[in-house]
Amino acid sequence: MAVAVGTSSDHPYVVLDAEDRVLDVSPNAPAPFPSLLGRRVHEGFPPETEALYGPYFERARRTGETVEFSQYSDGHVSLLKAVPIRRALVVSWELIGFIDVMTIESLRHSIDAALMALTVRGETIRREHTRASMRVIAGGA
Amino acid sequence: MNAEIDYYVVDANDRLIQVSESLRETMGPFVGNSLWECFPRAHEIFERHFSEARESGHELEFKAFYAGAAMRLRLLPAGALLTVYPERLAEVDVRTLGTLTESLRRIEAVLADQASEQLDPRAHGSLRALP
Repeated sequence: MAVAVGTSSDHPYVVLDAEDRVLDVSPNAPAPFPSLLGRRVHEGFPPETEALYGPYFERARRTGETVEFSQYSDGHVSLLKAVPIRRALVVSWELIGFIDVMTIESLRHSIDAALMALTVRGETIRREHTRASMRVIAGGA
Repeated sequence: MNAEIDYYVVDANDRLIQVSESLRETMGPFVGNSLWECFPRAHEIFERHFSEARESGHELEFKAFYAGAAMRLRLLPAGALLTVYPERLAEVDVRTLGTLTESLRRIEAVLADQASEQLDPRAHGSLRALP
């Protein structure tokens, strides 16, 4: 199943069915995603993962609209996009930070950098939403 | 339960020359090599304490944060050799924001707990700067 709609060309993605089973994985998706084909995506991650991501997936399916969100999990900070396409959900992501626990300094710097990345990307997403809304309003005026 | 105490021994050049059975899996492969070449950035955290113990000739104990854990190290100098007893006190748990926050609090408490002891001042000061 080839899905390119709603994903940035160089960001990894997975395609999920209604039960979060993996239908397709982009070639650049890292482990363990390729090994999860046919299984529920949450099986490849710690038990908390489903609780962290599930509500966003559910919202995208329920509203039929793209949901963008940031999430922290297992030392990584990612920006994710869940795009409902017919009965499937295309989830793409971009890694924007990781927690470096080597020293106190690297820990502090990596947390600062992740927070900064989240702020910048969050602001970008907010501006894009505002811009899209403005275009809709301008088109209707 | 493994009751064996973790320890390793370094020579005058901080080359690892012996490790306890309990550390064989993690540190054994590095025997014969400089600690500072095997463990990234360990030099900037531990080396001055090693030097201080050798220069004083007395046992030295301190706490520090390295590789995701707050640890207590006891250093026993014997001539040019130094026996190091590391004890992991608290570890960073990066699984979720909740576990990360909680583990950082534990680590801060562990490092702050030695106000009257000898403390790696950079470790404590830096941790307090965390958001």
